[in-house]
Amino acid sequence: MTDPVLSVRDLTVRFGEVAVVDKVGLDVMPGEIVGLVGESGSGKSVTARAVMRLLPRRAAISGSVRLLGEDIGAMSERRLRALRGSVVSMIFQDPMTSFDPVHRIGAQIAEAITVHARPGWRKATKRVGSLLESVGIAPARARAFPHELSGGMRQRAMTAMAVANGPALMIADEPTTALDVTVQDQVMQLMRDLNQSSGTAILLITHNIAVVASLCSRLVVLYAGRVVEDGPTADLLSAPRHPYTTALLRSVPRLDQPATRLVAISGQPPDPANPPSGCMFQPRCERAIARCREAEPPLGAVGAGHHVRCWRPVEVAA
Amino acid sequence: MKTPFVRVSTIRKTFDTGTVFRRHAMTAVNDVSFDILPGETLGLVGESGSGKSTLGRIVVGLTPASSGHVTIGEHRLGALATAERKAVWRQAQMVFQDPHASLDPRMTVHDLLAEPLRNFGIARGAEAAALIAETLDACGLGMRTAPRYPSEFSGGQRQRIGIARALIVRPRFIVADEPVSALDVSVQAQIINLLQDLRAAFGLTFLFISHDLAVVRHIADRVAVMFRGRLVEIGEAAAVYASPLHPYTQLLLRSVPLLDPRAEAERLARRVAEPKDAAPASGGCAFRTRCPHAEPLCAAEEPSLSSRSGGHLVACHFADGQRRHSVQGEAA
Repeated sequence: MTDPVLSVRDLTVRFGEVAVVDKVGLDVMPGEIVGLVGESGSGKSVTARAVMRLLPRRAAISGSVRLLGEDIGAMSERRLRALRGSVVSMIFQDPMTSFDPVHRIGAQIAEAITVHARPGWRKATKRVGSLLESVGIAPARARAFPHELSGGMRQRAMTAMAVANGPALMIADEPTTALDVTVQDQVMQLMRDLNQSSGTAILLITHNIAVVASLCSRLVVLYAGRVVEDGPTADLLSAPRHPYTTALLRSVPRLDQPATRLVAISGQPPDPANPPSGCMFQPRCERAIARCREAEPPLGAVGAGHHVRCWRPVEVAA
Repeated sequence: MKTPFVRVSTIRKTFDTGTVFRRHAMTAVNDVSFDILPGETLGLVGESGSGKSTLGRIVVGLTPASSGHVTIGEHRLGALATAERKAVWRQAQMVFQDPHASLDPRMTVHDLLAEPLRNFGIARGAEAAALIAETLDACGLGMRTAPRYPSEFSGGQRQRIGIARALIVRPRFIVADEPVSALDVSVQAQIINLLQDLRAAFGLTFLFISHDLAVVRHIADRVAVMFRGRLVEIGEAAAVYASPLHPYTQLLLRSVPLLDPRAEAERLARRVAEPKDAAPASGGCAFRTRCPHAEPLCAAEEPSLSSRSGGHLVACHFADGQRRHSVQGEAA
């Protein structure tokens, strides 16, 4: 059995009294693409930033995050800095704000390389050229400033920078959300190619279920800071067991099915400062019973590698 | 043949850009014409920068067109005296993407709804209160929300307030610009259903602008596709989604990831790499540098919007020969 690249156990992030992420656990195996799905406020971005230790000081983090077996919580700031951008890298939703606007993109990618190794300027420049080429940007564009590139090109350049040091894991937080659908398709293909050619494992965070369904072998569904369901993508899509996952799939407008009236989930996600009693989804759940209001269900196994946090999981149609 | 309620004729909009030293005009909307029948929902799709939002603002009268004109009911926008303009604005309202930015944070829900009633001289006192209660109810908001401020609500509730404010004057026509794009998936469906219910209950005509092709498919009777300021295809929604005629529409539909694993596997197998970093075309068809079927004619001559079967219009020289490429939707 191989060890996971990333192993998160009981990760809890509190801002003051409010737990934004509550006992989240997930594994990413080498070469695997795992999707972390949730709506705004579900805690998916905070989870990603907690993994990278990029949260502000006032965030109280507990639980364990292991990167290639090494506990991130026990690391020095210096060790962390050495890991970020080499072993684990991150791409964000808006590449305009993640690039420095006053430096050329080639120089910024070269910096990402030279921070972790000393290949010499000429070698670094050559590497930048081949990296840009691998994401479909002409090497001559290395001299462009971030604002001179289109949104899709910026996101591709960002991806080139993220894979510059051959990371074992790339965390992509809503990498396609700000992009047009045709550009989104290109960036998705790029991630698929990079994963296949270099074996980089990817933790893909998004609210777009179709995007994760297309790219990921496993999905983790977050609701109100908790994992409510996780399992193989095929199982989650064909036989979701949590009422939230089921309802979410029914409420998405789809191109691949006849246009019928959407089945909306009533109400809205809970306020983390004022959570409901028992199960977090219970106030919006059609299947809720008294027990759901009394106690929060644990995450229990319902199949091979398939877990659900529910007292009354949706039955699978025989 | 029904008479259209909204007529958009040869609309053109240019903006001055560049620096003080080098001015040049950017054409955001280029020679766009279409009609919307009473009670119909026309979906307007396109990528960012295609000019769809600018067009929406022109249609509702918020932005003046550089040339061309819009007719709503019997009134032609632009050439109106103040009183008449008010009458048009009462008929045509707008719902915006971000209700947080479009609702005055210092006004309560009640005041936000009472203001248009007062401005248009529609109702006051008990009559206004009754209208407000009825509208809040229609939008799925209780009377309890009336004394509260927009900031106290979630995104979905706030969009309901934005819709209620448009609806309070009982317009006949609503331009909705990306009304569900800022919302979470679970809330998005609520608002889509609400808009469909309101359309039936109040007999509304809609121009529904969105970049999300799946959302538009759910809500629109007809679909118009914009590319770089031009209308490249327009037709019955079912026809456009089942057999898109313009290569750009085909590309758009091919690019949407599908939830059904088998349909998605087929989509990926059919995926054709788009020429990357394609320079914007100048002269001829604007899409030709990204088009897999471009021929010399496409650079020489800009195709005009011309009719195919059943009111399906397309601006492409070779649309007829490309039907075989329009595979999206047939597999579903």
